[in-house]
Amino acid sequence: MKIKTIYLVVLSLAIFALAAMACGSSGGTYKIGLLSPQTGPIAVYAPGFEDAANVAIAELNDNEEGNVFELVVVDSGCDGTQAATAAQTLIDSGVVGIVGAACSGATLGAIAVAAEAGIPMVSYASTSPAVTTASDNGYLFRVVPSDAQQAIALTAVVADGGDTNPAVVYMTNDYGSGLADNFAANWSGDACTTNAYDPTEGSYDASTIAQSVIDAGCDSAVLISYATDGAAIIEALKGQGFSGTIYGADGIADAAFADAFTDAAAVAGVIATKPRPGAESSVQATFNSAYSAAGGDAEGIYTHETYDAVKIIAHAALEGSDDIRDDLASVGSNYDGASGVHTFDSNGDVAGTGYEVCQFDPAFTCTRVWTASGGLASQ
Amino acid sequence: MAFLSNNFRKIHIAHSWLILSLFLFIDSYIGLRFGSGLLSWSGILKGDILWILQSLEMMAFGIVIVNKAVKSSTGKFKALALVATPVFLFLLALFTLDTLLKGKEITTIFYYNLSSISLSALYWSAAYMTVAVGLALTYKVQKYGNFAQAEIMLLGSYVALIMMWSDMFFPISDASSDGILNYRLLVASAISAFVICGFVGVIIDKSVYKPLRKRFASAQVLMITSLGVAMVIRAILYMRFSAKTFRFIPDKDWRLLSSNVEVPTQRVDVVVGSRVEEPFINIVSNIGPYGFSYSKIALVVGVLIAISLLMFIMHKTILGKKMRAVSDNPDLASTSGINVENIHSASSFLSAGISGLGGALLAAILPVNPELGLSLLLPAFAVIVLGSITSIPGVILAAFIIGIVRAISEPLLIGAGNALDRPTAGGFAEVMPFIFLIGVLLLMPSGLGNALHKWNVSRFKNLEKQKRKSLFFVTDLFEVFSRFLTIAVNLVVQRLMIIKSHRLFLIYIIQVKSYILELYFEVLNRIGSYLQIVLNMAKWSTPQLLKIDKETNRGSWIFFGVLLFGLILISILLPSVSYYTKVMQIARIVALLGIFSLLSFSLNIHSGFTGMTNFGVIFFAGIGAVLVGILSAPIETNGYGWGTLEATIFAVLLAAIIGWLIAYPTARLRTDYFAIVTISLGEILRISLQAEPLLRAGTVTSAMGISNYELPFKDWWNSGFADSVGSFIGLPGQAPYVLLLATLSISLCFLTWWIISLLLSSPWGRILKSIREDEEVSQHHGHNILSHKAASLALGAAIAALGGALWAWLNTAVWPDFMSPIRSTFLIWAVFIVGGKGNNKGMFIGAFIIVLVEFIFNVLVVSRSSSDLIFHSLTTYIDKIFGWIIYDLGGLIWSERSIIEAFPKGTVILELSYLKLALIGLVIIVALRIAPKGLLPEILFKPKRKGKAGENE
Repeated sequence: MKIKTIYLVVLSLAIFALAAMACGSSGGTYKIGLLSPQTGPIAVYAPGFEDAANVAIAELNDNEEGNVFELVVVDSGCDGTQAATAAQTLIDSGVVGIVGAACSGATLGAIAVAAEAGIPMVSYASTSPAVTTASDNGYLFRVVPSDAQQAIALTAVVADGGDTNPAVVYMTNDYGSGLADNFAANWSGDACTTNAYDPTEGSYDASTIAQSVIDAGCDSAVLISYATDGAAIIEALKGQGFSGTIYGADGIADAAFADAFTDAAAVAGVIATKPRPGAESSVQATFNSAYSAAGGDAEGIYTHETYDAVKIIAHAALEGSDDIRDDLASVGSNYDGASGVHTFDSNGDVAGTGYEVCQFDPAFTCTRVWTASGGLASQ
Repeated sequence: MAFLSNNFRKIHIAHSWLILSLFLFIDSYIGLRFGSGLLSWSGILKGDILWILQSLEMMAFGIVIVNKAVKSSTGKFKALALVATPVFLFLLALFTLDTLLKGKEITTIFYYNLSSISLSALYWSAAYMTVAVGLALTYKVQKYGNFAQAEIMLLGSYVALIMMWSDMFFPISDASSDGILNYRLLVASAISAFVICGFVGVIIDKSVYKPLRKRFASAQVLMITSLGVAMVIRAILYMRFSAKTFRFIPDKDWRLLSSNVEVPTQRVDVVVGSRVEEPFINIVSNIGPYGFSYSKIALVVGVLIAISLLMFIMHKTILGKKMRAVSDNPDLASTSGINVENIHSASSFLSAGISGLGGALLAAILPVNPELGLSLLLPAFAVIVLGSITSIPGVILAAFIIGIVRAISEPLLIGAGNALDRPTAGGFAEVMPFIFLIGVLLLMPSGLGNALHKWNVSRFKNLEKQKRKSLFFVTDLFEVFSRFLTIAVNLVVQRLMIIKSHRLFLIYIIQVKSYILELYFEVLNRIGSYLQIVLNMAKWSTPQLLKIDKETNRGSWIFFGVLLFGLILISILLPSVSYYTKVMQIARIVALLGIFSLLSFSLNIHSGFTGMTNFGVIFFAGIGAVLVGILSAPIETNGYGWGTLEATIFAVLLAAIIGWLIAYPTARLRTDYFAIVTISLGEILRISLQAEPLLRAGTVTSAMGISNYELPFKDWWNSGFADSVGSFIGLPGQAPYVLLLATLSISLCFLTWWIISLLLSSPWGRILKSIREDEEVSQHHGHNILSHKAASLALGAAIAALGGALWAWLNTAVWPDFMSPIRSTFLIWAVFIVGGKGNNKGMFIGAFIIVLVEFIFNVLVVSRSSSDLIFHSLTTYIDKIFGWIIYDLGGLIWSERSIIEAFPKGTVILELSYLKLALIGLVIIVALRIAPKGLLPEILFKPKRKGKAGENE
């Protein structure tokens, strides 16, 4: 009996595959792949990425008459091996380009597959400098600036706040450590204390982290975190009586961050930077309203970047020249997106157009901007 | 020289350790303090690696001393030495840092906030206990390590959320703060989580483990099955609650900033390094109190109450007595009239219940998402190993010790990290429990629990003398109560059945039946024509296959051929858009197959042939991947600029040496302890990859991860060879590089396979098997067990490192996530058990299945998005059935609100990635159910004799 069962299982799988060969034609539609970290350490943010990508697809289908855009979502698992296999599946199902991945390790694993297949990838959340240097044959782009600039913006904001002795608390992933390293390199003095933690729930104790900041006698704290863990640490800091200013980066700079708190009093006074949208652009506002109308996940991060990445790939595919890399370069030149004005450089990176400086009081308002040339200024 | 060596020989051998330790101490001291010493003089080592090695040298001195002290003392002195050891090592670590920082002329301060540390330790131990106690109970009665325990705990958290969203309790949770703590929801959630998780535990035990037990499946099979169960539970939680984070709010007043007990505290500042006038220790008392939140108090109190109840049941009731009887000897218990299956149920109920209760209480502290459980699972394993695995008091003690270790190490790591330009060092706090555990096991190979056990035995002997008061009254009461409960539950269930059977259930059954029928017809339409052919083929070939005995050499090969043919067929049939992409796809499958086979061969040598339960496959593979990556990355990006060949040879040799060295302190550990040591090594390497700047390469800013390293033969391939291969196989342009990697990977795999089979059929292979079967007998035959085990570990480690190097090339980057055990070690274990341990053909087939499963289910995952993809029409039906389960069936249990929270868009759809996770889990469970010995079991050597020879297993 055993053998028979196995045999039947194997054969029935084969039938499915046969059936798969039977169909499989492509019409006048464009399939865009999305590598989403649906399982694994940052699975919490996957719904936000997918909601944002779907907003972009819906908008494209409304605006680009005669063309049909479809989003093919697959799980990257936040892991190089799984993401590369997922990229292969996307390529096998005939996508014109891949949006993703979120985790830098996953992006680097997937690009090895995509570059060989001649399919471009636009990452929406990989901030590691390794993405710049990857041997991608020119197929890897990203709409999220690398951490270096935001770190400079953060140092300016902290110095402007009159704080001289900030603690740096950050996540041990490439986003957290990249930003923190660059902050330390640009900060004029020494950080009061630095403390790193693994953002997976259940691997850190927020109150120990908070206490270490207080014990070191720091006058402020720079917290480089995502929303969920950031809220836990800020609640712990305030709960332990920390009175200094708390600074954060784009991981928490969103109005919805306040929803991550049970006690809304804790979020008051938190200052955070985030990439600045185009100067006179309404794209961000359009996206924000469409996203919330579509019931997008409130605690999402990098949603603006995901939306831009999908649209950039779609527009490049519509250009339809021989080499999609050229199309991406021409679309991605002064591209006015929800996450800023993007121009791809020769490495496929964007420089960004400066940062907005926002504050929770407890309502979320962005009153200042920071640019590489002009420094801090009011908006 | 002769004079020196003669004199050295004159020194009694017992004192050579003294000279060694003195040398280590002095050499490392002058090295750290003045930058001289043996390591500095050699001049090869520079920069950070120098002081890291010198610090390790100093710690090695400590370990030599401690080892000597523990081994040479007896009785009370030994106990004293053991207790003093951690203190001594901690002080030595402080001294090392002090010397190092003095040498570097830096100062740093460790802030020891007394209340913060002790309460944080308390919190950690309670959190670890929620998983560890259940684990220990399962180990005790059912005799396997349950990887699903953390998921059961997580289920408890979600039960709390369901309770919070229920119409009855939502007003409490939603009400604004009134300054009064409302306990109702928290208590109700904890109790229902206990009961519901308990029942889930029983259901899983009866449906999954009971059939395996009946077939006398080994503990390893049960363990890997539990891995499948864990995947299925996690997938179900993902499906039902999505990946979102939820907060469990028992009442707003539990979660305010002011919701904590203010504990007065003092701070001990330890000033280390070049001190000017400052004292070494500075006590600061005028600091604000430490706030210990109410919800943490609830966790600690709740978990302790639950464990005391468990202890009460275990030691004071008939049920507990029966459980302990079954734990000691199931057969004997059974013959004494104990229904062993019932005891298994009781044990699964209690172990799952306690974890569930802990989960509900933990939900009031941590944000809940489906990945929460995993981070507590491995530390919980460390806790139960430290606590002797099966003893509940041992687990409690161990949880406290590990909590304290973690809390104390945190300020030290932060302070040292700040001073030594390693701000990420705080991340190492997570692995301190593992490092501590390894240290303990090296000093006491039989574990802490053994000592506790001995002490307990002598205590019980004393107790027996004074006839203790019997507690018959309480036990009787418990029995009556449990009987009453059973009758009551039965009555309620019957009552419900009567009401429902008339109306609701009938409608539901009809509904689901119609969905399934629709689905069935859809499938039939699609595959009908092929089915006939295939069924005919099956009809023709099945009887032939049934005759084959897989445990003979010939049968094994035939079955291997059949399976391989099936798998190759599936790979060929996987859909793709063009010939070029199909080539890439097949190449990727083959490359992964080679890598996974190599890793499984390595595991097979360690665990299949030598009988060492190695859970550190990824540790050895990681050594290969990390070293090859760093050594062959360009020098200007923190690499060493080696060629790939040298780097690979070096990595493989180093892995072999490390494997060899690890054997000596660890090989005499019992299997479970060896497993936890190896898995700890893997975790330590993973965290080091996150936290240690020396393990980063590929970017000028030394950002996390290893990338940008050289790939083998890449330039040669691109310089024309790719074109010729491309035109040879009929591609329009260049052949993809992955084709070269696939060829490399599969050839290395076959080469290794051949070498291993030669080695294993040699006398040495038979020695290894004899060690696996019975170490003592083997030793009596004159074999040096330790050196054979070391050789086996070294060989396996080398193979794994080779697999790791190939893996690094395929991924083009090595990130810490790469080493996550659920994506590596556990998968290789699934290959090992499903394929059939002790048979390399099984490893190859198992690896093929695990690799292919990912591709097959990915085809299902992408099908939702586009109408021209296969299975697209299936998704509609899947969603219909899912919607029916969530709304109609689930609606009986949970409120409308809970559905809206998880599916805010109003449409209930099944995310197919989660279905994929569940299906992979099911593949593991089903494969082991069909073939508990694996698909291709080991071919046992049976001498051709009449009678009962070879029967004795």
